[in-house]
Amino acid sequence: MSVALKEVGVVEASPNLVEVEGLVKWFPVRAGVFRRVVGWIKAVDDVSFTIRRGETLGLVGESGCGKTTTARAILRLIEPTRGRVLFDGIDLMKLDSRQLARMRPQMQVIFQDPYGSLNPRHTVMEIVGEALAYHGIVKRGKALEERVAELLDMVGLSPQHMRRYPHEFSGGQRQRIGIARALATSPKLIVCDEPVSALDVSIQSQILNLLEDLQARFGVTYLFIAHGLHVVKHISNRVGVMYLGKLIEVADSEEIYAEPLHPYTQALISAIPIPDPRRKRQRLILQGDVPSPLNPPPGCRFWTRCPVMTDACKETQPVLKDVGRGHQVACLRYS
Amino acid sequence: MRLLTRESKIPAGRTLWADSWRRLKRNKPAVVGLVFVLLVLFVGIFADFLAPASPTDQDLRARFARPGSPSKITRNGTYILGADQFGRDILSRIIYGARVSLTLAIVVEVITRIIGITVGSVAGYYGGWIDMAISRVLEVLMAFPDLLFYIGIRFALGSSLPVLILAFSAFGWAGTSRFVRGLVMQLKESEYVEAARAQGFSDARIIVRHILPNCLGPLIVSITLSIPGTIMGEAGLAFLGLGIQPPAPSWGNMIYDSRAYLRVAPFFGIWPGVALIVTVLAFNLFGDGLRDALDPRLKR
Repeated sequence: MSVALKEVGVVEASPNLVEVEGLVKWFPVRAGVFRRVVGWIKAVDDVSFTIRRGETLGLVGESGCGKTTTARAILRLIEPTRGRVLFDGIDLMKLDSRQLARMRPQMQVIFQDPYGSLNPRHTVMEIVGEALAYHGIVKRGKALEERVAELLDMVGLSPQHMRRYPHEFSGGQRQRIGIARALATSPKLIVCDEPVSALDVSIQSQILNLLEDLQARFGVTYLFIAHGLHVVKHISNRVGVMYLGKLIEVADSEEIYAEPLHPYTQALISAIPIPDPRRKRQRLILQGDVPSPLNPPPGCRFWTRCPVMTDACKETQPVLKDVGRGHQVACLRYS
Repeated sequence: MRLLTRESKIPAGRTLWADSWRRLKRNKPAVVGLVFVLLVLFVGIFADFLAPASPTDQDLRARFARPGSPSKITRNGTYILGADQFGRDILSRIIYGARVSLTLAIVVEVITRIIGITVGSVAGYYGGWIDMAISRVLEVLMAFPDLLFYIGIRFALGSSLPVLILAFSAFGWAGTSRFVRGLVMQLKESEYVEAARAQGFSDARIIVRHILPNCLGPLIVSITLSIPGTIMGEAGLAFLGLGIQPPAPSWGNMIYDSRAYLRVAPFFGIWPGVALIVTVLAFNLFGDGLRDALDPRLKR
């Protein structure tokens, strides 16, 4: 690996594991007999952020805001339209497919759907162990079996389950298999793409605790995607909020709950259910729907639904600005 | 590390195949179909031992002998199903005909599926201009009148089993390619394929180890259902006088031969007809059962 990667240029170890700069992903919309491009879905539109080593960055936003696309573009599971991603000092966009394949063990994914993300024709042994053998990390045979057994034990499954097939497990158990697979190659980064959204509430916290334990043991960095703030509240060190392809606010976890600055973040926080029926609370309910990413509004993307909108918002696009203590917000009121 | 040594025997899981087999066993028509399919295969493979006579031995004095009448050419001394216009033993010809029909159908399946799966999975997996180019070629192939092609190569190369195999294979793979292309395009979007990509596996490995095994179910069903199609296709060509050439027996050319003698010796045409119908029906019953067994979601 070293020879190939030196050409790309390895930078001094920085406190940031991942640096995303100006990431853009537009999907072409084709129509007609000749599949002409008639428009672009601006799924991710100029997003920049960093993930520090060993932390958990939560990324939240409603369906279709581009958070999953962002995650996939960072890992180059889909090719970004523009932008730069530094992973451990290496510019991922400059790697050819072979170099990228060799980087893959260091950056793994846990998927949302515990039913769709495991190959139904493979045993747990094959699912968890395949990458280890393929990348030559562990030799096939006894050593591989022992490593897989160890991984299953780490995620709370019995090594006895090794020869079983995914359809013999419950949703929570399947998600544990997915976690074992992501963990197998000892990655530096694991992208958790809504890992608990498809699970029962009772199992959600088990999986979240497991993820936290694993982070404490192995120092792995998480990019944790969720559509509600309440899920990322406990697990994240920092939280980024996305709206219509833009990152609109980033702050430390406690800070963003205590003092959300962007009106959209404020609305999201007011939507977190409070388990106390007697407590009165102010719900900030947004009007209207999210505009189409095919044709986002000019100026601030949020102005069509913003309760504190001014005329300037319709024309000027706000950029992320640091307002102190690492709290960044993209809103004209703070610039 | 020592997690495994405590109990060295790890219980094996139930594969999806084992589940499908249990579902298939409960489906009576499918089991009957399977038994007949196996029977026909057995008869075709062991024709040399099972047939009471050579399919081409003639006894012109025994022309149109009725079923059960004495015979000089068969091992057991009777025409169990009667004799044809040259005094050949009809049962032996049906048995050898099974071999011809099945050889044709199976070889055609093997050739068309290998080409079709390869081309289709490449088109489906890579998409873009590769898919565009392959799809246009497939459309041309599917639009081509294959009967015309066959009559053409028959005049050029003569009529033999290999030529028939070529005729059925030359265009047959286009359908499989289309079918596999669709399956691959669908499975390519699945999260487990994305997971495989995230693990850095090569495209070839992803196609062969992650996508194709999941196409196997529908493919097996389509193979079982297309074998009777090829058998019928040969019979159809034979009836036009374009199939396996006499004196070699095939069910199709036997029916073709019997046509002129339908009034004198009706059994002559009925027996190969029955063999054809039963075989085709058996494959269809088995194939339908297989579809239900492999994909229980399809069942209402």
